[in-house]
Formats: sequence, C-alpha cells, structure tokens
Amino acid sequence: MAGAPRKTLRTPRRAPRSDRPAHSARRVERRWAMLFATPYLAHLVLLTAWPVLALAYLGFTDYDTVSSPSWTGLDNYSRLLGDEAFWTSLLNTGYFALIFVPLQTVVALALAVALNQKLRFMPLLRGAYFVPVVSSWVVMAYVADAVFNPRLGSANAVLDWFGIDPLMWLDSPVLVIPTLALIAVWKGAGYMMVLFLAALQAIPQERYEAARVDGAGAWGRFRHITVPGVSGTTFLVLVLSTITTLQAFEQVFVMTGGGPGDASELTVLYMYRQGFEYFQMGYAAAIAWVLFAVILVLTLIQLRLQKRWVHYA
Amino acid sequence: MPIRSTTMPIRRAVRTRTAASALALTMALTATACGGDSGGAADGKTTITLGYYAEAGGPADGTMRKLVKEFEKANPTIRVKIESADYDKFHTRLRTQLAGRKAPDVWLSDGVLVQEFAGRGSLRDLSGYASELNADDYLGVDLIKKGDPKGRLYGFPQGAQSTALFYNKKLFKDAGVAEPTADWTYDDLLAAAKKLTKDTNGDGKPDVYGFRSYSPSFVESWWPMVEAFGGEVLGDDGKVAIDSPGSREAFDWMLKTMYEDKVAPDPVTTEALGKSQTLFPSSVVAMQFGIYARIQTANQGKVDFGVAPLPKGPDGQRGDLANINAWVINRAAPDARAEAAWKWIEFFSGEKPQTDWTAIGEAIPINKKVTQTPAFLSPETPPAERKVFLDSLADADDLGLNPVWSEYTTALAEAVTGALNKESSVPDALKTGQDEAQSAIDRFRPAG
Amino acid sequence: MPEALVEQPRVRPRIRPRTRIRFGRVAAYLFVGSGALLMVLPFLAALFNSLKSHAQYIEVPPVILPDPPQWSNYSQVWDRAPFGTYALNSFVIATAATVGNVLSSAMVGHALARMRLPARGALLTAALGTLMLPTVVTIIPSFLMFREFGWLDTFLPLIVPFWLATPFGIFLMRQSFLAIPQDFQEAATLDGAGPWRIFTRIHLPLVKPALATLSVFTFMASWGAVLEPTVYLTSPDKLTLPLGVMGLRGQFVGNDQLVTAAALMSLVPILVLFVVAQRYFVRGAMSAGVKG
Repeated sequence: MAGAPRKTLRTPRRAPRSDRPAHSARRVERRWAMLFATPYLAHLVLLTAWPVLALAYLGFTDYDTVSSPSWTGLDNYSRLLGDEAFWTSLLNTGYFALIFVPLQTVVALALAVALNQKLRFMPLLRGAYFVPVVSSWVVMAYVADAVFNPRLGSANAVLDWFGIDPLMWLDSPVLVIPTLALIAVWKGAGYMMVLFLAALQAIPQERYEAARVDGAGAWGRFRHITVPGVSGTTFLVLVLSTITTLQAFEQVFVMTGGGPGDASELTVLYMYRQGFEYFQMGYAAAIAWVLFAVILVLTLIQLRLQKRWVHYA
Repeated sequence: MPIRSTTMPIRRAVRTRTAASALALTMALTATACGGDSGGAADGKTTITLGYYAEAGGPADGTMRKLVKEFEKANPTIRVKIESADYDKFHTRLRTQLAGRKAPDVWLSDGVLVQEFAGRGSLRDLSGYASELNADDYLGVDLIKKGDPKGRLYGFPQGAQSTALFYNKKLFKDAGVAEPTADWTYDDLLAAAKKLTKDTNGDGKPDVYGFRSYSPSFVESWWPMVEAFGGEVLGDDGKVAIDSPGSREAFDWMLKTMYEDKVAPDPVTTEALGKSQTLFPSSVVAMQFGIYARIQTANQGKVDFGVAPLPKGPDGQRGDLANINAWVINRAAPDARAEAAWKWIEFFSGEKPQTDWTAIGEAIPINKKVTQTPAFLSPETPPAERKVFLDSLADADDLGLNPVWSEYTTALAEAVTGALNKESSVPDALKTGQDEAQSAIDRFRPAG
Repeated sequence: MPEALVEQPRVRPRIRPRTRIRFGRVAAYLFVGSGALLMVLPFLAALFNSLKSHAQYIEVPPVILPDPPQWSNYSQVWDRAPFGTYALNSFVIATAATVGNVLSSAMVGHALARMRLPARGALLTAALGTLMLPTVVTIIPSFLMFREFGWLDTFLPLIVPFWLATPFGIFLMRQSFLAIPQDFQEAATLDGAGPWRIFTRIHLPLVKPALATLSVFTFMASWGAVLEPTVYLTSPDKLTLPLGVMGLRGQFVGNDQLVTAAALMSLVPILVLFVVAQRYFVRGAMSAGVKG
C-alpha cells in the first residue's frame, strides 16, 4: 500500500499553482484523503458492519452455534429484562469501572508528572512501571496470586506486620471487585502514564516560566497549566478506559472466573458464558446489544460534559 | 491519473470482500450439516482430526501422543491430526469450531458435556458401531446410554471417575482413630472427624480439620450427600428435585460440620487455606470425598492415604456418583472419517492402550479386563484399595445429565453455596436453586 | 533561607529554581522509587513461587522462600512444550500486527485530522462505535468470515485486522496530528509538497512519540492476546506464548509452580524488547515537546 502512491507524488505537487482551479485541488486532496482512509473503510466493512449485521440478526434468534438460528423475535430481550443475573453483572461492571477508571487516571497523571523530570536512573524507574504493563493477563494472574493469595500472598503478610487480620481479597464477595480494580490499576497505570507523558511534553515550557514570574506556586502551576494542558489527553484516557473497562473480560476470565459466587461476574463474562458455555449465542448477542447501548449512553454523556472542562491548546 | 488507478482496485476489492461477507453470512445462517471435503487424500489415506484436553507435556498428553503413533502404525491408511489444549481453551475453541463446522472428527468429551453436544445435534449416534463390540466388556456404556432420553449411545467410554472417601493414614494414626470401613455411616464420619480436628498452635483455629465438607467440585461435596440423605438432584422425570426434606437434611449436616462442630473448613476458610483440592494433599484435612483423579493430587503431596467406600446415609444409601468421559464423533464428519474415528476409539479401548492409560493414574480403565489386572489393582502408589472405585462405579448414579447440564448445575451450585456461606437459609437456597435450574432446563428447545 | 531568596529574585534568579527543584527531587525520587518497588516486588514473589516444589507450594502454613529452589521447574517447562517455537510465533505475529497498525492508523488518523475527508464526522463516530462493540461476541461472525477466506490455523486472522487500523490507533494518531500547528502544512503546500509528502516528511516525524506509543501498545496487546489465538490457532507448532503457558494447566494435577515459571519466562522476551525500545520510545517522547 505504501509503494503505489509514492509514484504519484508529482501530480498533487502541481495542485496549488494559481493556474489550476481551487476546487480541482480540493478534489485531488479529497481523493488522497479517501486513499488514506481506505484501511479503515475496509475495517468498517469486514470487522464492523459484518459482525454487527450478524449480531443484530442473532439477537432475535435462538442460536446454539451448531444448528441454524431460529427466529424467536423479542424473546431474548424480554428474557433479559427479567434476568437477575444479567442485571447483577451490569451492576458489578459499573462498580468495577467506578473504582478503576478514576483511580487509574489519577495515579497515571501523578506518575507522569513525577516521571516528567530529568531524574537520574529515570529509564530504570520508568521501566519498572512498565513491567506490569507488558505482562499479559495470564502472567498477571499468577503474579497477583503471589500477592493476594489469602494463604501465601504477601499482602496478608504485610497486614500481619500491622496486626491486621488477613483479608480474603479475590475470594471475598465484598473485596473481590475493589481488588480486581487495584490489580487493573497496577497493570494499567503505566500504560496511561505514557499518554500523559506525551501530553506533558507538549505543554510549552514558556507557560511555566511565565507563571513562575507571576509568582504561581507548584500547586498553582499544576492546577492552572498542567491540568488544562493535559485535559485533552485526560478526556481520551477517560473515554477509552471507560469503554474498555465496561468490556473487561480477560482479567476476570483468568483470575476469578466471576467468583466467588457471582460477585465478580462482569457483563462480558456473563455473555461469554451464555454464548460459549451454554450454547446461547442468540442470547449472548442480545446482551451485547444492551451493553453496547449502555456504553453508548455513557460515552455520549462524557462527550457532552467534555465541553465544560477540556481545553484544546 | 495514477490516483484513480490505485483507488479503483481497492474499491473493487472492498466490494468483492463485501460479497464474500454476505456469502459468509448466508452460509452461517442457513447452513445445515455439511462436511466439507471427505478427508480422502491423493495417497488414499484418510486424515482425521483428533481433539482432546490435557495439560501440555504432562503424562496424559505424552501417553496420548504415543498411542496415536501406535494407532497410525497399526492403521497405515489413517493419518491423525492432533488438536489438543488445556481443558478451558479446548472447550472455548470447540464451540467456535462447531459454529464454523471445523470441529475435530473425534474428540474427548467430559462425560457431563456429552448430552450438551448431542442435544444440539452435533454428535453421531455410535450405537451401530458399538454393536460390533460386546458392550459387557466395557465399563460405563450403560451410564452414557442412560443420559440420553432415547437411550442412544452418543459417546464411547474413554475413562471413568467414581467417588470414594479418601483418608490420611498418618493423621488417623496420630489421632488414634480407627480407619474408615465399608460400614461407616455419616455419624461415624462425624465422630471420627471430631477426633481428628486439632488446633496444634493454640490460636483457636484448627490446623487440621477432620473432613472437607464443602468443595466447589460438587460431585465431591453436596451432591453425593444429598443422595445419601435420601434426596435427589434430578428426578427420573428429568425435573430438578433438590428441594426436598432429604436435601435439607444433607445441607444441615454440612452446616453442622462447618459451623457447629467446626470439624470442616467453611467455604471462605477453604479458600484461605489454599483451594479445595489442595487441602487433602497438604494434610490440612484428614478426609475428603474424592473422584479417582484425586489420587494424582494426593500423591503429589506425598500423603500416605487410603480410600474407603462413601459412608452410608440414614437409609443405607451411599450416594455414589460417576462421570464417564467419552470419545464422541462429530456428526458433520463424512462416513470415511467417522469410520476411521471409530477405529481409533476401538483401538483406545483395547487392552494394551487401556493398560498404558491406567498407568497415568488419572482414570479408571473402561476395559473390564484391564480393571482385573495388576496394572490397576496393584499400583506402586497409594491407595492400595483401588477396587473401592470399581464397586462405587457399579452402584453409581450419573450426574443428572441433560443438554443444559453446565447451566442448570451452575444455577444450583450458586444457590446452595449461598446457603453454605450462611448468606441464605437452606430452604430458601434449595427453592431458588430448584426454580432457576428448572427454568434453564425449560428454556431448552431440542434441535431440529 | 528560602524566604531571603524570595525577596531578591532578580539578583539571583538561578538559585531559587535550583533549590526548589532539588527539594522537589527528593520527593519525586521517593514517590517514583517506592512506586516502582511496589510495581515489581510482586514479580519477585511470583519468582519465589515458581521455584517451589508442588508440595511446598501448597504447604500450610505457607513458606515464603523456596527451600531448596527447584531450578528444574524451569527446565521442566522447556521439556513439556516447544516454548522457543511459541516465542517465535508470538514475535512474528506481534511484529506484523504492530507494523500494520502503526502504518494504517497513522494514515487514517492523518486523513481525519489533516485532510478534507468527506464524512469525517461519520467516520469518527463509527470508529468510536466500533470500540464499543464487545469483541467476545464478534468472535463467531469473524470466525465464519475467516473460515471463508481459508485463513483458519494461520496467523492472518491475528495480523490482518491490525493492518486495517484500530480505533484506538486512529484516535491516538488523530489527536497527535491535530496538535501540529497548521503553519507547517501551509508552508509545505506553498513549497509544492503533495499530501503524501506532507504526511511522510513533515507530519509523521512530528508525531514520533505517538508512533512509539502506539507501537508498544499494539505489540503488547498482540503479545498477550488469549481469546483470538485460542480460537484461530490449532496446530501445535503455531501456538503463541500465552497459549503455551495456559496449556500447562492441568484439569486435575496441581502444577501452579510450573505455570508460574512458564508465565515469568514468557515475560522475558517482551521485557528485553521493551528495554531496548525504551531508548527510542523515551527519546521520542522527550523531543516532542520542544518542537510542539
């Protein structure tokens, strides 16, 4: 794909000349734009439109993945309304997101500010934050077990020093979601930190100098320059992590399997169970649509609120 | 213009792909069983795909690969392509493959899942093939048939699991308690458990528990107890029947062991001490109900242990259970490949392969002759009394098989675990469990 | 001392920031250092676990240090499955996916941020919408499609989607391209540079940090993926590392110490890669601000 357009470099070069009508230049540019966007157009057709159509159809069917789907109208959706386990899973997911998303954003920003200095050993330190990031959930599951295992984990050993009774962490119906969120922050903060670092680097140094001259303290500079300066990235981080968190799957899949009981049954895991363990792909598709609607509404709200606090430089 | 010449093919490609997608959609949504290629290759060999789950590089995996090589040598016209994975991944992949009609020709199915696949029409009825064999030479054939509403044979036994009481000989000796006998009742079990429970470091919590009452693996926990106390999980009419006085008695007994007499760890403590399957190997509990495969885990912990029949309930019932893991043949496999797949099953059931399989110690061999040989009866590792598992298997009931087994048992397990955690009362839990499990069964519509 | 300095800032303007920074530095070191320890210590705990015998792993009360360390756990892992092949497979797939995603997402992001693309808003909305579709259920339709293409049991279903740009990549790149001042483009256009040249010669070098970020993220995502490889790869010699690690889990047999060992080993290649790449990655991030 990269090879072909190189030859055509000369054609558009002529475009801006005054003897060519402006609209033709615009047409050329539009074509180029289309060409640039082609990969995504293909993506939309193959990886979006096709699954969406299939899922839209399957949501109205009873599809056991072996025999052909049979049309059942709104059955799946009416079952969803009365399916307590589904609503529990949605609440669990919301609870998880409510802890994880803000916590990760704050931790990542704090880390980025701290790491955005010319400290010695910086590569080494920064590298440390990346160890959990580059670990897959499979690895994380075993590493987290070394910490949060109620019997041999180090978390309870630390609590013991302070004379606190051992906690059940992932095995406790009350603590399981906060613990999962904590582990997710541990794994994800370094990732989001990089996005913040890039944004921090983009804030012109002169602004800080000017603020300093005006007598602003460290907190003031952070509050009035850094925070607005990274607000665009913050928004991106918030929207993306909300969306991905509401779809969280792998972490619970490898770490708790939804347990204990249904305490960490997140919606996508519930959906997976329906589709891949209970042969109810039609019902799973219906769940997917409801989840999609929930995410859509939340994203729209975020987009609306964005205007109030996001500043683009 | 060069631009046009580059964009056009791309657009066309997109259009072709759209057409391909539409085609795929049509195929997916209207497809009925169609086998694809027949598996016949130019050299006249039939290639079959064989799927199984095993821990990679473990003894089962190694033995299976060795047996496949021997099978290929004995059947030069058949080639076997292996698709193996660990239990979870194997099943995830299998579901997708079934949807895409790319599932293996023959695969190893957990016994409790045979009806799930059969109920969706993805398995071949093996009755015809099996009639060539003498069914009396093999264990578990009747239990597989019993699981099918019409008595068809949708899988052929690969290995059997049945239940027994595991006990730690050293802990029994230390506590001066007589070892369990075949006459033990639940009262005897409880009395022994009380003597075996010890708090050695004096922190007020037992360091050794007499018994493991609760396990998420319910075949080794509440299910046999419900049956021993005269209850049942699934009635003969196929309806969930757990909400009965017998079951209530069984759960009350369990609660008593965990919270009143404190001779068994409650569910939360079980997790705190490790997982339910590490308690016996690490000598934290002196007794557990276990299936045959737990012999391996107990030996990993280097425990000196024995096995005895499950204790008797008030009416003398033991509530023994069995699960027959089985080879199943894909209904979408064309005849030639199904034929070859059956040959593999027949081979695997033979005396020599079954003897090799027995050596792993994971399952009771399904070839009756092998169960009478020293390979099974006089093993090098404990327990010596392997015959206990054969007796238990002879008396055993199946695990309430039907096409929605995973779903209805999960619903049941979640409800009763609530009661065992004291989050709900036993009668409430049994009622909720029964209702939810039954509605999962009622939702199922048989294929075609 | 500091008060005195505040009173005459113009006389000695350089000292005030320096002391402040030094003070701030200690705090920063403390914060960053303890955080870093918190991040990596669990891996040490996992390393201890991986060196235990199974009996020691399940012992009650627990033992923290393996005694004696079972180094053979690591060699056992190698004996059990071809982890070298798995690592190579993971590497090939992740590299191909990364190259594809960076190229395609940069192109699409550029079109959205910097070119007169028709229906730009609709495309952006669509990209956001795509993100919201849970991939777990789209597995079945995707599987059917890739089966039609004859791509099952090949690496293609794990690579090609990345060549068609990912929504995350598009957002990241668009955001970065938007941050570049308009003047660069205008100046270049006056110089007669075409869209391709503006993209490759002027804009791309300015978004290096974002490119590096996207590369690392894509590589990681592909390297750690579980569900898709599970579904698409069946031949034993085509498996990826996470599948290899999980494949060691037994249904009955307890061998968590082996799986932990394998999991830690699977981490080594990507850690090495990250350490090597970090120089470029960080330098890219550092140089960005100056130009912006």
